Amino acid sequence: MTDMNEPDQHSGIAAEDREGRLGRAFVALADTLTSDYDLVELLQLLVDTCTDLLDTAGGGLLLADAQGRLQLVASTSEQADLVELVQIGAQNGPCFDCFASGTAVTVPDLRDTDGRWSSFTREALAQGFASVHATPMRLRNQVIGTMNLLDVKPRALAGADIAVAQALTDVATIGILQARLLRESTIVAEQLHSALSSRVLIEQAKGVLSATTRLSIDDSFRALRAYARRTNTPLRTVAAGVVDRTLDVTAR
Amino acid sequence: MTGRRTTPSPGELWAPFVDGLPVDGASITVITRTGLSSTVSTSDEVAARLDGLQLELGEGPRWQAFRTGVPVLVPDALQPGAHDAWPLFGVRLPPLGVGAVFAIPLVLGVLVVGIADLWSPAATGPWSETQLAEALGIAAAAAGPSVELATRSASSPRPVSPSTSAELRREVHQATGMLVVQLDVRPPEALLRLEAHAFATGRPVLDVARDVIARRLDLSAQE
Repeated sequence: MTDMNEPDQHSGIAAEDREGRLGRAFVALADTLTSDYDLVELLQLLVDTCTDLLDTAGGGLLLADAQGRLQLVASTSEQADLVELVQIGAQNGPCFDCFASGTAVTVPDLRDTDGRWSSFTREALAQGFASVHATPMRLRNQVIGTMNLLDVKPRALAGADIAVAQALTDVATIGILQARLLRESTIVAEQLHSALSSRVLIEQAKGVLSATTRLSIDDSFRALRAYARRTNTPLRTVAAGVVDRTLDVTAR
Repeated sequence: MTGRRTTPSPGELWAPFVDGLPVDGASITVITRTGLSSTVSTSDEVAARLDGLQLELGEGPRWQAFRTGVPVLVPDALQPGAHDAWPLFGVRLPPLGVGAVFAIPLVLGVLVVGIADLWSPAATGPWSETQLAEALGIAAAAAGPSVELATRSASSPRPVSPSTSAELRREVHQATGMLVVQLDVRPPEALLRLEAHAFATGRPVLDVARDVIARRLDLSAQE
């Protein structure tokens, strides 16, 4: 099972134990998606789970904000150093490259980066980290962030580990995008509902006024609007009162 | 939902359906979660009539598709059993020269926000999977712009385009308001009385509404 050519690999963890931990991890992630989930809690669970399962030393999760800038949303520790390190990586580092390309970026040995990302590499080595793996949070053409794992040993994640990290990340990504989609379409639908129900009220109010005053429909509308302006009341509120027969806009 | 774009014209909404599918006409109706509807686009008189009928009768493939979120395809409307779910609407199809009807849900994200009602004069064969996929794709693309058009036109004091049936329905609500006073009832019952009168006299609700507004018809006199 151990491959002597890899810098380091899981050798002591029995296959069944790992499978059990992996299964429980998926269940835990899926659980947070089905109920009213808390985004930060979900992402914390994702980065903690990956760190634990892959036996890495620490990690941070970056999510793109509305302007497309990566923001640190969850990390395995609040230690200021780690936080700052990941943020540097978000500007110029493997984390950013992963986000920009939508593909995983793996650095098995930070001492050997050909001068790429000098600030990030220097800071990571200073903190005792030796390797990093960045996983994209991606669904088709949409990349919403990156999940980044750091280790203190030079290490290339095994193919199976990379796949696990990607699969767990994919579950979280799909859930987040689905929730966003629902939120956006709900807002649009609510705006429509509000516009249509206001329109119905206003038209009904024109009819009520036309019947009680003998004004034409158009003149009735002018009377409604004049009253609304005079009293600084929203037109919809005036309309509701007129249709309710609780408001007399012709009273002086 | 994102970005700025000009409000679509009604013609831009129905055209892709007629161009891409074996149908002669289309109407597009936006429907809220409480059943308030606004017809934003109709391609021809028959489509407008089919739209009006489903609204007035409260039954039809549109409502079935809206409830289930699944397309209702009736490639042969004259076949026995084709009207079982909407018998009152079904009998009105042959006199209108309609041989096939299709109701395609407009889906925005995960919400059904409206229906595209398509019609054909003769029975078509059953649709292929490709045609169904095409219809769903066109409907998905039309969903956002249709909601936007409906929201904007409802929000504007003057009808955006007098020829669209969306605007004409304003008269139904105006007439409802007048009946609230004439019959001393609340709006839901006033509308029911308007619709009942239209049904009893065999006239479109819109025509009766215009009579009420013009004071040619006073329903309280019929008590």
